[in-house]
Amino acid sequence: MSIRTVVLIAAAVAFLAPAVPGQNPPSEQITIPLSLPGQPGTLIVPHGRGSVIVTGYDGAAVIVKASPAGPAGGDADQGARGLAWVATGETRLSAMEDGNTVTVITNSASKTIDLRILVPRRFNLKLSVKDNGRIEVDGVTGEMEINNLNGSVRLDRVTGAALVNTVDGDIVCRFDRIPPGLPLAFTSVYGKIDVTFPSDADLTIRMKTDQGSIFSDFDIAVGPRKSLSEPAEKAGGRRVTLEDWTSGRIGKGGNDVRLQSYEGNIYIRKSKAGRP
Amino acid sequence: MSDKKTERLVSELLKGRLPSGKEARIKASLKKKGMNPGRLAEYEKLWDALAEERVPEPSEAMSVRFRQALDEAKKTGWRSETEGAAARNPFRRPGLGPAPRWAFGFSLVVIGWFVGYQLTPRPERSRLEALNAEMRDMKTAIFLTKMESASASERMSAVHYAEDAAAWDDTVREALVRALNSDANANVRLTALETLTRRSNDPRVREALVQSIERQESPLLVLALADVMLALDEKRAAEPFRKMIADPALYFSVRQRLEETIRKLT
Amino acid sequence: MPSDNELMAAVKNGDLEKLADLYEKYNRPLFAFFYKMTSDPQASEDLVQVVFCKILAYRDRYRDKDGTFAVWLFQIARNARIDHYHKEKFLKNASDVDELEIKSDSDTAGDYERREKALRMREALNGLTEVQRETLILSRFNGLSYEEIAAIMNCRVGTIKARVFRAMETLRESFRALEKSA
Repeated sequence: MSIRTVVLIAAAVAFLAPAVPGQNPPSEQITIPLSLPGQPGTLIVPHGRGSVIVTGYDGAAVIVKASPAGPAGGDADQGARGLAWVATGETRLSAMEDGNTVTVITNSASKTIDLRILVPRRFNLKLSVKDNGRIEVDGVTGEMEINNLNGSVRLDRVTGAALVNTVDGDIVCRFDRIPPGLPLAFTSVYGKIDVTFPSDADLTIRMKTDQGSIFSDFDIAVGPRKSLSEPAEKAGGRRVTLEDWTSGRIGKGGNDVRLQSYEGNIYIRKSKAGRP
Repeated sequence: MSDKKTERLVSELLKGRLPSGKEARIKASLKKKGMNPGRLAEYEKLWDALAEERVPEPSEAMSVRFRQALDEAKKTGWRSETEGAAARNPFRRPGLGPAPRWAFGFSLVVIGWFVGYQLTPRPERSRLEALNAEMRDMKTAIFLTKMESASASERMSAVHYAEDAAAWDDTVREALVRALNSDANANVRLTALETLTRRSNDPRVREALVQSIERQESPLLVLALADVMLALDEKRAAEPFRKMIADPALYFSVRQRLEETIRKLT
Repeated sequence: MPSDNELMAAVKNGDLEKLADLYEKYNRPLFAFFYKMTSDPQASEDLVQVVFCKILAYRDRYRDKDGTFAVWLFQIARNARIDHYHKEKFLKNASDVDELEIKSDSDTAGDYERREKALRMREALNGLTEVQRETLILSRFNGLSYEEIAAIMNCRVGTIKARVFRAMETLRESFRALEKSA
């Protein structure tokens, strides 16, 4: 299998053009064709700083647009008064494709760069952001591994197994459908967790929040409060009790779903929209 | 007496299924090369005799086992070990990484262990008990193979599976500890921690948990470990937690939590 | 009747049930191969399980071209057997072969003679090297061509043919010796 490296050929506006106030920062864009068009693939974005926004579309290639982000609003750089921000456009956007797995790399370790990516609807995603950005996914079906250290994660109209993890960001997810089999997990330290499942989902849920509360409009058949422990051994073992998990069943029970936050609330919602 | 060509011709003749013209031609060539027809006949007789030892019928259990294994695989949504592009991708996040060479050997060892278990002589057991034991072994083998997966969802599913199905032994424990310490995905590590915590009466598990503290970078894991150590009243954890607090970049509330934990432990 | 490649493609695609069709077709030939190499029916059954387990686990590695499924299958089978026997030399001596020596009252002269011959064949086969024995067994049974066997054993077709010849020659000589001592 040959690895194709698609390197950006500067296709956008000249970067060092004198900036006009109000002009959008110039972006770089590349289109990555797939080795096996029409078949599912995987998108890997190990991102540093900046947002990653992925949208499913009815096409057969992956299209990436990278824009250097302007200074954060409220940047009180006195020296910049009266001047417009000049984007220097060095995103160094590049991508590798190998057997339908696409990896997108930019200069985001040192610069804040926002990515907007279009993927075919059936695609697995491995997205991670360290800082200064949010992760959004809309309209994708596949396995999703999403990590945002300090920002929020939003999944909309997705189908598949999701493992989502933030330290300091809210997690909001809306699932169209959850195929049986693989587990889901949503974990955060400071963020809230707000997930919406289809009303006819069959899930086995475990929830825990240290300092927040749990809310739901599902009829969750809550099991007896279980502690993570082994029954004490006869020969003087100690019974271990940890912060209790609340476990329950939605529908007939099914995929394992784990929701955990330390300081945030947990919301489990029933989707109001009819199934497509 | 025989040269390479003769050898080849004899082998082809024995294999048979030759178009009729060719068979005659080969026999003629062999005759020309001086192959004694009596000798050729002996080869043919032996070739036939090879088929005579009747192979016994395998037992019904073989098909039953296969059916059980297949059903089990379908139930757990067992994905394949893809020799995927992702595995070879140099930009992939560090962690489990591409299935290293040893992983293939590891799986073989696993399966070998499974089969080896079956091969060692053992006292007669009741059929049901034996089938149950085989299922347990198969489940452990499935667990270990799934843990090698490039997909985090698969590995997560493997850890869940270990909670319910796999028998508890050294290999399972070690695989879970490895996951806790070095899995690329924090959710997998957390679930491994929970599964291990259920077995905290095993001193080796406790040892592994304490040693894991220093290896964790994610505050999620650190907090989870702090909870566990507190519940276990594991005083050995105080020292690694103290080292962690020394890091100035530590999240404030994590530091708070650790300070509190240390206080309660000591 | 779907081809092996079609069945395997379905398995790769997630239709694991199709593996059962492949099992139907190949479980006896596989068992026979293992039995002929090991003389141990229980071990042979275990090894059949191992092979199908590996097919499941590594199904994505299968690349379909004409006639390659049987090759892949037997490559897995060979490796499986070697892995589990490289420590112990599982050459069963004639004296270990219990099942052949069970006498029963319904033994006719024909049965007895057949058993005797089978025992002698077993002994003669034991005089071959392992690789020779494998090559012979794969050639004689399982309907594999020399080209396929060469692919399975990762060597040239000429080598296979030469090996078959030399194995047959060795058998011939040991049978002559056995006959003399009979």
